[in-house]
Amino acid sequence: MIALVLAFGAVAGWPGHMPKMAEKFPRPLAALALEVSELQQKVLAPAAPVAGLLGITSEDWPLFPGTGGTRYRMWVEARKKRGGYTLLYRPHDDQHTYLAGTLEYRRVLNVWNPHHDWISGGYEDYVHWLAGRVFDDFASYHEVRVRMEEVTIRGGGAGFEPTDHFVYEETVRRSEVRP
Amino acid sequence: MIERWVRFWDQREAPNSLALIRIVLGSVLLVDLLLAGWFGVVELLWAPPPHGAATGALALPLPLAVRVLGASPETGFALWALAVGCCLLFVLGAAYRVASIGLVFAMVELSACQPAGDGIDALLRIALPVLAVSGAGKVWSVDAWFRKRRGKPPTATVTAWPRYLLFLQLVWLYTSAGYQRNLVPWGPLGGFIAVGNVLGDPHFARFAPGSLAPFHLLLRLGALATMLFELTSPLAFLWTWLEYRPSRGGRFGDFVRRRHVRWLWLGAGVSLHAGIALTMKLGLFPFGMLALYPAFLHPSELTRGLGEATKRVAKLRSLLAREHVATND
Repeated sequence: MIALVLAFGAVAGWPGHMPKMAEKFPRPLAALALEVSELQQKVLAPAAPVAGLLGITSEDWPLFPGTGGTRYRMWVEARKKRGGYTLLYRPHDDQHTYLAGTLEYRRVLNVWNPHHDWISGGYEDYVHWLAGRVFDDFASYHEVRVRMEEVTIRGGGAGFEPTDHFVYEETVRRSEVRP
Repeated sequence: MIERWVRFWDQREAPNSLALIRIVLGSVLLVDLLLAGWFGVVELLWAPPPHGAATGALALPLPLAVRVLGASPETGFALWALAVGCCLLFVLGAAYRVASIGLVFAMVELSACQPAGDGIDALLRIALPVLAVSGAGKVWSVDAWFRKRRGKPPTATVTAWPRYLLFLQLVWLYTSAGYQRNLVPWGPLGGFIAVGNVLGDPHFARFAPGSLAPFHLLLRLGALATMLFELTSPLAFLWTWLEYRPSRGGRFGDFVRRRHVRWLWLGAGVSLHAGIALTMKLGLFPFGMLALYPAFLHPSELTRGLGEATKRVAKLRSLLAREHVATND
């Protein structure tokens, strides 16, 4: 039984991003690696019901595989019916710390922190939830905007460079969440 | 060969290492779950839209709790409360088997409702079922206390394979992480700048990004040490085997034992996670990983270490008491 679990574990540990890794391999080795990737799901099929029951999705652990390059910095802003946006929260900005503890709690951060080229499916709902909290806390605000500024990591621990380029922008009006 | 394999996995040992994992891992998970309540985000995390950001009724396959109770904030809250309750019982070792199975169920359902998790969530979903079927509740637990009160003898040994599996799991996690790292930031080609990069990421850096620039050499050494530690982690089996077999390994074995290589490797792991906890905002991750480290220790090493520590504390106490009396005189 244990031998079987170990065998399935070893197959499940085959890197999920092998196609990308194999680009750097010599051709015969790359072909073999890609073949194993295709076989993986078929081999794991008998164990899938048990793995699904226990919520075990993989034995592949790509922890911080690549660092640097473009990263993000979240801006939470709100505005009254007239006027411009007021910044409420931004990581590592001592002047704007609204709900900092809550937003930086790792389970919440996992919902809003963008990965290299995707963001969690719950991001839009998170923005609606956050907007509701802002409207509850500040009666004067009419609209909440959440967006991610792309930042360039300088490397060597030298911090980051803001780019003033924003992505994943979501705007929520009071009437949408607190009718 | 098969006989030796079976004999290896069939070994028994005192339950202390598994019990320590139960207590520490359960405690860090409990704190993590309670933080969700403290910050008032249970609904956000585990209730479906429009109440929260959980997948709710859209999850595939549909979580059992959602199927039975419906996709509502109450279902999310009930799952969270179940997880907290079971986790508390798990730490205390009370109704251990039922509590641990309940905790496994709750954690699987919570992750089905909110798939946005990190590595430690995935690791917990592997470690908790192993602990649930182990003898981790046989000592340092409410169950053991009740057993003693009923006049039954304490459980001296339990099966060792759950600890071996957790040992193997940790080593595999490090190996998998190590060989998947991009060699440019993590290697000599990029000047080992990876750790410095992470500390420049505004979403993960604990200190102001850029404030650790004066220590850039130390950060590079940190990246190099991380890679060395992770890529050499399969050798942990060899270091452990050589330590437990003083007559094996010839000169090399003697060298490994004399230089305490196994302890150096473990110390490197502890330093790695302590460094992460100190400098990065990764929540439960470093603590959850360290909570599994007793899997690397044989129960006799653990009890010997705890015995030594207790003796030292008692000695220190008596020394302080004597000093107090002398000062008063």
